[in-house]
Amino acid sequence: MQRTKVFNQKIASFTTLGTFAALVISLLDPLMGWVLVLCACSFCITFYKSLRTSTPLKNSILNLLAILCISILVWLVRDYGLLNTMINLLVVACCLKILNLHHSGDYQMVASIQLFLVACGLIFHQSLLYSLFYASLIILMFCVLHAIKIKETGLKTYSKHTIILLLQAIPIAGLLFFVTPKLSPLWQMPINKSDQTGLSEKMTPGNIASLAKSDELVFRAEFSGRVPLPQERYWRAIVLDHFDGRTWSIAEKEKSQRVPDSLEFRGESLDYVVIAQPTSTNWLYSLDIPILIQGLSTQKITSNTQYQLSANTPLYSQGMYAVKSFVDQPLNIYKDYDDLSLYLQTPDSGNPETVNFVKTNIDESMSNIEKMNKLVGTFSNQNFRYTLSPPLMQSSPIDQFLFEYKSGFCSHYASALTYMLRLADVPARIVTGYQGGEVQSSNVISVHQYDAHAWVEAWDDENGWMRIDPTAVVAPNRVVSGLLSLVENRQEFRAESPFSLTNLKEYALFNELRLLMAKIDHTWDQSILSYDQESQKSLLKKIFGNMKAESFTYALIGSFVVIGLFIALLFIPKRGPKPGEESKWIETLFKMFERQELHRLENETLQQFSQRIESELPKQVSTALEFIVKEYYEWKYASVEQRLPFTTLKSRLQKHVLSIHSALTNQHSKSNT
Amino acid sequence: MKSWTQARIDRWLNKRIPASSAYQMDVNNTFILPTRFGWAILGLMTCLFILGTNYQNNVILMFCYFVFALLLLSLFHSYASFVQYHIGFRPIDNFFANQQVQMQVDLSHKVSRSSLHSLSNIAIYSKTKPMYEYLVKGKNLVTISPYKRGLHKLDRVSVESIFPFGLFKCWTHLLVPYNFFVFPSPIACSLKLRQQQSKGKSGSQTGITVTTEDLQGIRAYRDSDPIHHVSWKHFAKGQGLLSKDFSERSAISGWLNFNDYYNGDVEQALGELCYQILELSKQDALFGFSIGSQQIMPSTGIQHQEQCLEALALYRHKQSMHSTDQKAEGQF
Repeated sequence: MQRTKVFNQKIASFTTLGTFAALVISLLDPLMGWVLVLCACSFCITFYKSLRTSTPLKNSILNLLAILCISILVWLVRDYGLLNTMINLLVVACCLKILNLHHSGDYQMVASIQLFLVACGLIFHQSLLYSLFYASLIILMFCVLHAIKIKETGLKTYSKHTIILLLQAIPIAGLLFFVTPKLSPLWQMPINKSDQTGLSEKMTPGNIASLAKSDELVFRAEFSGRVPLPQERYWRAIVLDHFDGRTWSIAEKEKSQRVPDSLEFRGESLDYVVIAQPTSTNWLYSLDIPILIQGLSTQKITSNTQYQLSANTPLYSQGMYAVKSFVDQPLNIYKDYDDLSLYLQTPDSGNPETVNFVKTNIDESMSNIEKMNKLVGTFSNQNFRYTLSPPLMQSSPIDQFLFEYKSGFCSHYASALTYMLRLADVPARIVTGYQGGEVQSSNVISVHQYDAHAWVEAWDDENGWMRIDPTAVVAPNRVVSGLLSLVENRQEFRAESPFSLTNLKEYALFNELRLLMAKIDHTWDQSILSYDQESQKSLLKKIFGNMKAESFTYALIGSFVVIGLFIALLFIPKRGPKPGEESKWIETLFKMFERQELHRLENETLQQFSQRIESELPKQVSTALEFIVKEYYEWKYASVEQRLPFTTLKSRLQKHVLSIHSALTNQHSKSNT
Repeated sequence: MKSWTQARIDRWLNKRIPASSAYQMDVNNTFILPTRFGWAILGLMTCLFILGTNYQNNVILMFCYFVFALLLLSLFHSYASFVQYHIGFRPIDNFFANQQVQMQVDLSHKVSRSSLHSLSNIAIYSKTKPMYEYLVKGKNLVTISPYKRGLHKLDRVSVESIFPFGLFKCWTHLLVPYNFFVFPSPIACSLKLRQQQSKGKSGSQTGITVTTEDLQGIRAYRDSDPIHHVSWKHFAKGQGLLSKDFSERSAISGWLNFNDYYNGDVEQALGELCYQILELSKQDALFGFSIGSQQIMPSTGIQHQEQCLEALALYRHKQSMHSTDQKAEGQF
């Protein structure tokens, strides 16, 4: 019982509760409803129990409960995916363990689970703020671990000690981080099923408004030259080319697409590096026409004839890639390789009014460009309205949109126009991606989830794929100044995410602050999150010059030496004032007696010592010792001016010391025989 | 019966950490290994590395290296805080079997220790006895129980500290050089003494309490006087009834004999004898003690009492101490 005793119990249990609550709140997304209820119950019970002394709960009850919970989780593993199940399992374990915080082992187990949960949290959130949040949780956990096993003391003392200990670990951790070789993934990890953020590979305009109204960051692009104008910022991601009357999706194509051996580009190019936030899809973002700069990306990326970039594995963590975009180059470089008939596909039935409308308005003799202008014109002539919350259009969505409600957002417009173009025999497709972005620090553009957009590409034999943005016709501001430039959009947005900092955009000071934070975040992304094999190599190259395989080993060995030195520096005993000749002499005197098993007690003075052991000594020794003590104290308490140097005293007493020594050794040898 | 490995470990320990009344923790007597929690955290670190690598997540990797650095530092802090301690043992008193054996342990630490280590907790425990106590600076009374009657030597006592964070455990097994007797617990009973007699007749008058008292003088007979105190010599001479006057502090004297108390139960007999020895010593009686083949000549005083009690403690006692320990005893 004593061994598992918990010191500083009260504060430890409250802190553990606090970190538990904070962790659960940061992991709300993957947690199941009933787990949250369990968390709340366990939190309340533990809180109540911490206020008073309580008896331990029976383990058998908790074990039964644990078995029940585990079986539920195993039952649901298919629906929730492995990762989510694991997180739920950990949270349940923490919930049940926290009910019985009595031994130090309980605290340690809870802390281990919580540390693991922190790691799970970091899978989802890696931004600077979240990292700091988790770091502070880790500090609190270690405070608890420290507090339960040290002497009862004030909160301030041990938290200070813990923080010093943790700070000492940071340089070592940092060095290891920068030097330890980065490995590629060892095996495929389970991904989060519900974590389908970002663009969807299906678009159903008319359904419940599916436009992502969040201010979550999608990616940042850092330009090395000119930054594109707002109307040039069409970030292509996915091309949707199959329509079934309600939903646009990606048509199934042959796997092996033929690609020309060499391509020629003309016109201006923009160079930029994209740091993409994790999504669970493979799609990447780029301006037209992207050419990947090889060797500078964290992922293996391929581009295809639809000018899309896609990573070979989904982006579970941040990805970085460098692109050169030829913005002036018409999209006709794959002219001979495109199967244009694919882009004329329409469903056999449905939306009859639209079919009629196109038939009456479009003449077969018109050129593709004329057809396009004519059809786009329909949006400007009638009073179409741009809104983020259009009514539901379920039965024949395009008919309802075009002739009934006349209100919608980008995907409604893009969908209607593409459908009409296809009916008019013009090859057309929908491109989804992001439009716009916010310029930060002059050469970085941040693109958020609310910048999601959809536009149309239609084929013209001369110019190739031409970008048409029907939304721009209806709401030109949407394209030039972004979604939030419209007051009503702003209000709608605010209703959706009331706590977003973006709401404060109107206030200059807050906006400055927000941009500053975004900048810091960007630096964090670039330096820490995107630190990979390549950047490691280049960093080491900077430090050690040209890299060979062996210099990498040297760097590793060197860093361990540095760590060793650092630790040695921490533990070199701090020397007090140098022991003077006087104390050395006394030490030798004590040592002489120590050899005879006459130990000096703690803090005993020479005088006290001699008085204590007097009776045990032979006569000759005790008189000599008495003399030495008398002389020594006379010298010690003489005024400084009259005091002779210590060496004279020492030489005067030397004779007596020697006599004691010889007497003692004689005695010792006698007792041995 | 000690297993072969245990015996080897003991031999190795005896060589490595010989018995001493005071120990300064240092590199020679300190062991250090991760605790169970420490192993768990090592496992966590491995999981973090796999998680960080597979998700290509640098923050998790950073966390992993941080845990590694912390383990490393904890190893050093654990050792550095442990070697600050100095432990001294005081000779152990003798106890009765119904008492709790207590040992005095003096704890001190180096003056130069870092303030970071000032909160470290150090505990003393024994592998064979249910004892675990945290030590404070200065004098500590540590209870080690229970012990049966006999001459005892403490098994190795261990001292451990899991400072900081409970990740590593620093410990040592110390050997206390002192022996101590545990006497039988006294059991109250009536006194059975044998009169001092010539050796030839000893043992014939079992069960009779005989006292020899000092004659002080003769005085007139009082009704309360026992009849055997009447001086029949003077009565015969026709000097009337006179009583022999015995001194007030009339010391009892005689022999305590084990056989007088032995009733089939050795421990009962020893307990009763123990009680009598204590009582007789309290009355400053002159008594001898014979137990088994051992005879202790009549005497008085604390030393005599101790001698008798030790004879009690050792009577038909299974020699728990090994011959090597006996040798060790001679050194002190």
